[in-house]
Amino acid sequence: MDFLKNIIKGGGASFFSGKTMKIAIVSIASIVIISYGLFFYLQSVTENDIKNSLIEQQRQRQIESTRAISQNIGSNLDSIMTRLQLLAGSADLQGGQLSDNSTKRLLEEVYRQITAITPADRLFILDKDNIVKTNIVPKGENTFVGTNISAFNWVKEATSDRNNNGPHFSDGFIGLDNKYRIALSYPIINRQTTEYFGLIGVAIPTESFFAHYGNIHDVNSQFLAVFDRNATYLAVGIKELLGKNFFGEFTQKFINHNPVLNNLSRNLFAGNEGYGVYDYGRGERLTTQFPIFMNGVPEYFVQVVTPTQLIYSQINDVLFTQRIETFTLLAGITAAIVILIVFLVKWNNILRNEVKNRTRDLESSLKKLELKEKELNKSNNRLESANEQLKLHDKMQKEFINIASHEMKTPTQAILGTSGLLQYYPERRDELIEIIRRNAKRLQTLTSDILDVTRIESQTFHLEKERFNVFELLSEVTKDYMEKIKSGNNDIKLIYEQQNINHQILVEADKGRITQVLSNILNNALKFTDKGQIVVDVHESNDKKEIIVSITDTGRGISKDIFAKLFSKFVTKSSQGTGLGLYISKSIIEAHGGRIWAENRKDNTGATFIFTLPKVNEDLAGGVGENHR
Amino acid sequence: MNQKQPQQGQKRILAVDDEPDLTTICSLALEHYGFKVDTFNDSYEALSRFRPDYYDLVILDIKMPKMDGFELYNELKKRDSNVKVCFLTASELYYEEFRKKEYCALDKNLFIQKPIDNEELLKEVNKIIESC
Repeated sequence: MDFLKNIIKGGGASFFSGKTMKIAIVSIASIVIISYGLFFYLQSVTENDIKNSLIEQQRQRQIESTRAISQNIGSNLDSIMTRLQLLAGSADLQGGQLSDNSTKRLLEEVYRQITAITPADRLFILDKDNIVKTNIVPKGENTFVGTNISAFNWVKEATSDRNNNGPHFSDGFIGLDNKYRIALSYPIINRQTTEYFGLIGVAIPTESFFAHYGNIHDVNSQFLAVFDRNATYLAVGIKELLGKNFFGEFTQKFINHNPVLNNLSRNLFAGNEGYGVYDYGRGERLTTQFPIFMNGVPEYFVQVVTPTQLIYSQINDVLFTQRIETFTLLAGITAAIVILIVFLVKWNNILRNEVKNRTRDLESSLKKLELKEKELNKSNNRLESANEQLKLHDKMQKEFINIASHEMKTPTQAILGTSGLLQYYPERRDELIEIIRRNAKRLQTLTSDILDVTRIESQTFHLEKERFNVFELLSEVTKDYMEKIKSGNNDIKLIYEQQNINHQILVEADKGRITQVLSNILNNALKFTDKGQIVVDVHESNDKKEIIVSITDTGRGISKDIFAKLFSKFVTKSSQGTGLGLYISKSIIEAHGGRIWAENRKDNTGATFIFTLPKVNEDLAGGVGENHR
Repeated sequence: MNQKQPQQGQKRILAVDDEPDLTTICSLALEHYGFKVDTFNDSYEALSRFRPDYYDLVILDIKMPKMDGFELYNELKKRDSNVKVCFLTASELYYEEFRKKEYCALDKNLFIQKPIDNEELLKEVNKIIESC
């Protein structure tokens, strides 16, 4: 049955143990985390790719638009210059008429044309001493006519070489009206006499002019930066930088000396277009640049600056949507896995419980089986012992028959043989008859013993009880034996001892049976004692409730091999005994409510047989005693 | 015990039995038929007083105290290997068992059952003495 138990226990353990479960969950979690990482990595790579391609597209577009802006500015400035050139060649100005009415009319005409296409707001004429002669200005503004403006750098530059003078595009400066301006001028020189009369020019406020081509106010969106040849900002989305030199301390500090931007700008001022992406601490920017060429010479420089954030913002929504999609997908997969794990765990638990239940059932049925097995074993044992007892009984029965038949045949042989001898030996008649008598007696004793045993065993053993003085009976039986011994063996002395010779002890018992017991014990004592003495001692017990009779001999004692079963049937050490005497004696004493046992003297110099009989109650005893006397 | 002067040609018999009555009867009966009979009631005494090459037949009881008939048989055979021995017993079951187990060499005819009357005993004794 053990192997079944092992299967049950082993089965429980091998099925989805806790350790396996943990390993599985950890593995799944790791896979999920790795998947998430991979997903996000790929996502960011994709996003970067998209961003890069966006920047690329934006760069291409912006280069084109920057070129367009620079060309547009260039062509507008060129058209103004063309008009100035035409004015300088007009009859009035060729004639040195710098401030008469017809000149003024002509100028007003041209002023209208110019202001129609640009925010240029001043058209003026300087004489050869750089004094303002005529100035067409918006209504209400100061004309500064008569003012000498020789101090302006651009005037110095424009008039430095009067003979070889052409169109001049000025750097930025602060005008008389405090507006930041550039000036375009053309010299008025007589074609025949080459006499220099002065300058005709246009002063353009940079802010309103360049605002016309792009944003120069909002730094957070794409804006325009325009420089002059000195690298000074003419217009820029960052207000603080207006009028500042790019390589000046203030600007460099502002852009944190950004090398990319510096390099880019240096290139620009060398007359090269280009682009760059940089971040000097105010967000990443994409810058494209283009010089503005006037008659093939770079006079001004344009940069278009776009915060890349702005570019990305176009796709941020798309990317955000895509991220949400990816995340949703991942979350969905994760949820599915989690649900799967939960399901597996639950399922495992259900299975485990099932296994547990089945194991318990099996165990309980195993227990029941074991119990039944035990019961079976028990009843087997009972049967076995019953069988043993039967065998023993059978053996004892056989032995009994053997002994009994021997015991019967022996006296029979004696009787048979002797009776045949009577005729041959008439002179020994008495002796032979005595043999016959003795053996007949022996047969009789045997028969009555067997009868007693049969009665005891069939429980039909009856006592004929009467009340009598036990001292009297015992002393009489002993006296009979004393007579018997005197006539036979003189080596043995039988002694009778009694506690109180005058006292009487009443018992209620079967006289014949008590006599039988004492005779039995005395016969045994005589049988096993060759010489010495046999003492019959009779006394009351200490508690006065029973009488104790002990018969002590000086024989060879009771042999060890039969001592334990001395009072059982068929136990004998004598060749003549049936082994029934003590068995019958014990039955008799116990039927009287007494006890019987035997003791060996320590030095093996004899045995003592003791039996007890309950006394009759003292109160009643008195009365009976009276009657007897 | 009961020894008479042996006559010429008289057969000698030794009888051992723990029952004095039975040895008495046995010797009286066989002496009546002309045998010289020695009897003992104690195996050891019988053994110590045994005379080799003297007896024509030894009759043994089996169930005896101290030393039983089979043991005595062995001892006697040691002292006189030619002596003829037979058993006169009332313990048929006892001897039967023993004979089968340890003395299977003994002829069944050597066992005489008690009780037996004197004439029958004489017949058996003669038969055994005359055989081989």
